[in-house]
Amino acid sequence: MEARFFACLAGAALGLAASQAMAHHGWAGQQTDQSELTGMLKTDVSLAGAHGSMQIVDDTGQVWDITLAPAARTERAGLKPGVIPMGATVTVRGNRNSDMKRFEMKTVRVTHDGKNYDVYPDRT
Amino acid sequence: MEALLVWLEGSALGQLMRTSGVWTYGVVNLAHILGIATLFGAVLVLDLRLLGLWRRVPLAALERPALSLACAGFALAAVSGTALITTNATEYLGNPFLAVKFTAIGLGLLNAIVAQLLPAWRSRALDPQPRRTRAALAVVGATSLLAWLGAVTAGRMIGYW
Repeated sequence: MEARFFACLAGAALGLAASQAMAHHGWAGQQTDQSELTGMLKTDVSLAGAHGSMQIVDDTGQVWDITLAPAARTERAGLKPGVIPMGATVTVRGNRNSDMKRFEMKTVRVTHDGKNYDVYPDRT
Repeated sequence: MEALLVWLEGSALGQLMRTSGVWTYGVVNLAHILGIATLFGAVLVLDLRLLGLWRRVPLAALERPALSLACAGFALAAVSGTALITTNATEYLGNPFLAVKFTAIGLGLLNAIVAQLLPAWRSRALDPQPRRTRAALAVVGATSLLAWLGAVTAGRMIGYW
């Protein structure tokens, strides 16, 4: 029984080491390269759910879903509902959804009125 | 489907989920995972036993703790899951994994109910088990395993659609 337990532990350690080796820095489902996007705030920052979100409209009228960091992390970056006025111009930097039919960006930095909200400072 | 999701999002629970602080979703999500872990772990042990593993462990000894844990886990997952989905219910519109998940859950529950009505379930404690009993119980175990594995898989994939 004891031998089996240690064999199990060793297997788990091996699996963990392998998964660490394969870890990479991208986001699954997003483009590897970052891009910038400027638009007007259409839907205010929301901190409900798995991660914060907001919507902006670019100058062609396209509505973009802007995915922010998890709620607590987005809030720590200073980004909360009501911080950016509706209709204000914002620039977001992040990784666009790799499906070009989806207008969604996972965002690392939001800039409004000269102020940066780095929701993923380690990725900016 | 759309009407149901709109109603869920507009419900008092959805309102509460969205306005009760930045950690609420994470904590409810934790409860959901604990519920799933409890349910799936219990079901896994019982299903593998029904499929013929660990024959020396009497089914009667396994059944009580496994079924109690599975029920408790399901209740926790169902309650927390309802709260999670109300948060941004309309976001799941058009997410194919949602339908797959609830179909699989339905199959899992149906299988559990039907199993208890089978003659094989009543003769499960016979030693040795008749061959037909053994085969029927194996089918129950395999169906259960498939259903719950399907539910967990589709459930996890919802977030990646």
